[in-house]
Amino acid sequence: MTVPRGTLPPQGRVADDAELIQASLSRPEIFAHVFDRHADAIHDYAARRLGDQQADDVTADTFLVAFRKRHRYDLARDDARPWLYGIAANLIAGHRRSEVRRLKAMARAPRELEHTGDLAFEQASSAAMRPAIAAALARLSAAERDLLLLVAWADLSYEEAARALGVPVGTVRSRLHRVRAKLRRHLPDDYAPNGHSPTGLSPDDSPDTEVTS
Amino acid sequence: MTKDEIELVARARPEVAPYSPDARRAARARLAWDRPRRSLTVPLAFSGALVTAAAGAVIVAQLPDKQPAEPTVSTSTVVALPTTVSKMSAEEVLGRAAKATGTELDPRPDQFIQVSSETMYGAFRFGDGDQETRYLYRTKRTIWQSADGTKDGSLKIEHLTPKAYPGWPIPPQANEEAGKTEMMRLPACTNSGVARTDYEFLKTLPTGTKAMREFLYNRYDAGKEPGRADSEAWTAMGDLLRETYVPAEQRAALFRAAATIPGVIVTENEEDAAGRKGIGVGLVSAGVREDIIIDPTTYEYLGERGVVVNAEEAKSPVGSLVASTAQLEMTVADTAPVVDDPSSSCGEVH
Repeated sequence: MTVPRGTLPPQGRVADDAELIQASLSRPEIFAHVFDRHADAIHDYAARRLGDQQADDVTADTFLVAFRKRHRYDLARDDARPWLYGIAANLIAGHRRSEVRRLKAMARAPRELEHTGDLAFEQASSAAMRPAIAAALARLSAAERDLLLLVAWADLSYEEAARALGVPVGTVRSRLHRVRAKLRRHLPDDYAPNGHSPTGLSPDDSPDTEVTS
Repeated sequence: MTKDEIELVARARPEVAPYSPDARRAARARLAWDRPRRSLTVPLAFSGALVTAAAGAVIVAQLPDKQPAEPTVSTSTVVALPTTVSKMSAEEVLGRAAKATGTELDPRPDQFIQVSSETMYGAFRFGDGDQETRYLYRTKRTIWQSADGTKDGSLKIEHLTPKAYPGWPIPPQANEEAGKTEMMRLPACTNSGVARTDYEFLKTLPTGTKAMREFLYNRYDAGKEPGRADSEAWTAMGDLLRETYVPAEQRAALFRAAATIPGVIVTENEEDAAGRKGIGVGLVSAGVREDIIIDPTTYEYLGERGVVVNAEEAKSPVGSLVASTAQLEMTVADTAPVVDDPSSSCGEVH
């Protein structure tokens, strides 16, 4: 709605994110392409962490914040995913209490669900996440959970996760090392991805302590 | 059994429902009409090829006498009035603004806040051959926003003759839209989250200085970006005041909270886009002082102004006026013009 005509790459080649964002500086409507390209992935990520309802808000806000910050985007980065996930992670951090509540509720999921072994169980289980994992996630600090889930659920590389969170990649490595150790401690010894295991978290066990590094 | 705990978590990734098309359309539509802001500041984070392109531009900016290399439509530039730094503190000016009684409105939920203004902001373009161009685009705008945010609003934009960005030749395409008027629909579904500025929402904002300050610092994810928090909070304040009616109590809190932002300075003898004299209160960001302009007699909000204070960062000579607005009229309207604008639809949002 401002005026000038930006320039996109010649037809036949797909513009990378940096080119779209650059063009959107003078033609804001072009930013919609960045939205089209990444909105579903950001929404999936937010929905995994917070549920569908809040994912709608987080996704809309992620792109609005990104749009307003697009003047500061590092145009040397072709791929805007780390930047967008970083914004989303910041917004999700604002819902930390509700995320932890949700994880704890999942950790308390009725045990009998786990023993039916039929398709309904598979669906219920995957939709709600396995209680032991939910319990272990609830016990991580917010910063640890942000990092772990960017790597495990958003498929970011260590370098990309470092960029998303604005920390050195060395910090990513050491923080993940600590996360692994914590998970090992909090997941039951006999935990197997498809096996049965105790939840490992009582309802009032609530150590979402913030650890900054 | 997998030994890697991260892999275990990855495999426990919950299944999620697809993004609902309605919510998706609403989120996308919200981007389409986000109001001009940030254009006050110059891009900070460019690197790689663009630094090279911009380096040439810096030379242009530092040698304003040099004839522009590109064909220009107009070479007139906007020069700010000489300013004097005030003896009044930001706290004093904003404190008086907080106590000022302006035109108070009392809209019903089904009515609209109608605001007209004149604006000039920078248009930045990185075009062919990585050549950056800049100019100042000017408009007259009237916006109708639903008082409770539940109805579609409208926006009328009249494009005025653009001006050169000081230190930069004006590109030919700058004049393409001058003289044209467009109407846009502002769909109600886009009024949520950080985009909300409707009266019902503004009414719910804190009235205490401390709580309002906290609100400003959290409005965007300011706290997460080291060194940007103050400027993000200042921007949040400007975004709440622009083209809105903020009820008196919240407005007072907003000004008092703004006065607590470190680095806020007062500049006297400023002028808004309509030529009204005022006192500037602002914060420097990317080499540009981003002021709000306060009436020196009534202490009411008049508009905004951006003035270059660091030529290197702003790539424009010190003293250049790179943004200027004037908020002219604010009233309550029973209806907003109906705009047939299918491109700004949100789909079947209820």
